[in-house]
Amino acid sequence: MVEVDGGGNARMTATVESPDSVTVILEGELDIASVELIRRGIEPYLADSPQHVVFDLARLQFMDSSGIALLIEVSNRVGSVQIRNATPIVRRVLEVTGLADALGVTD
Amino acid sequence: MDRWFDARPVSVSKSRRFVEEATADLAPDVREAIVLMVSELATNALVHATSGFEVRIERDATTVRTTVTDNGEGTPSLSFPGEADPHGRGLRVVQELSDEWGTLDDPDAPGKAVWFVVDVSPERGPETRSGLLARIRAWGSRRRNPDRAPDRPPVDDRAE
Repeated sequence: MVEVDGGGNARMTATVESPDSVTVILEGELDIASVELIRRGIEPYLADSPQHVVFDLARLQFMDSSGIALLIEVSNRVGSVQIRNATPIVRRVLEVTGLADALGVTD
Repeated sequence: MDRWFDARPVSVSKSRRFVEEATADLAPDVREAIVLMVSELATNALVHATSGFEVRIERDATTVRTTVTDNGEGTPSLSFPGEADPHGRGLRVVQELSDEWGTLDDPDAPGKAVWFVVDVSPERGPETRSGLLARIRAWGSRRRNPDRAPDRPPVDDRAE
């Protein structure tokens, strides 16, 4: 388990669940100021080409399209992504951009 | 009320705090939508115009009008990225969550403004997520019906 403080207002914690699966917990506010360090924090976990990445967003208080961009970048590089526990405002940005299905949003 | 923010990434979250204060009395869903739209427009000012930006909030009993003005290059345009394209969604968020939006562009000076209006009429009652989504759909059909379009200030509609 590795924690990365994303500068801005975001933090991440990544856990390798199995050789094929990584869980990433995002906290705080994901925007243009915080997304780059989170991107760098996730990068090592993508180098091993996991099949499945789960984002737990229960403690992510805010995300705009800068965060959406990161989620799509990850989605493009792994077999599948799943988004769990999105807060109402985060879920709304996923829905209005039409990405809730593509990014595997579940309760 | 208005405030200028420097061309730095941290200005985006600072602009959200400013808008949260200016809309503290509104229903949480409406307020969150306005804050999200400002975050998108502030980000666009930084990324596309490499500019600082001003956020102006004008309120009356039934509407909140928010304008984000930068002094850089570029004209906002609505794009339609595919699901695998990471970029190009900021203005779509504004289109989806506002009642009206548009751009103002002075051809003789650098910079431009992007504005949006949100109806906060009390008769709309407490906001629920499903209610907001229903309104979004209703707004979409209203935009397509010119007979019912409300008056607008002069607008550069190229972005639409």
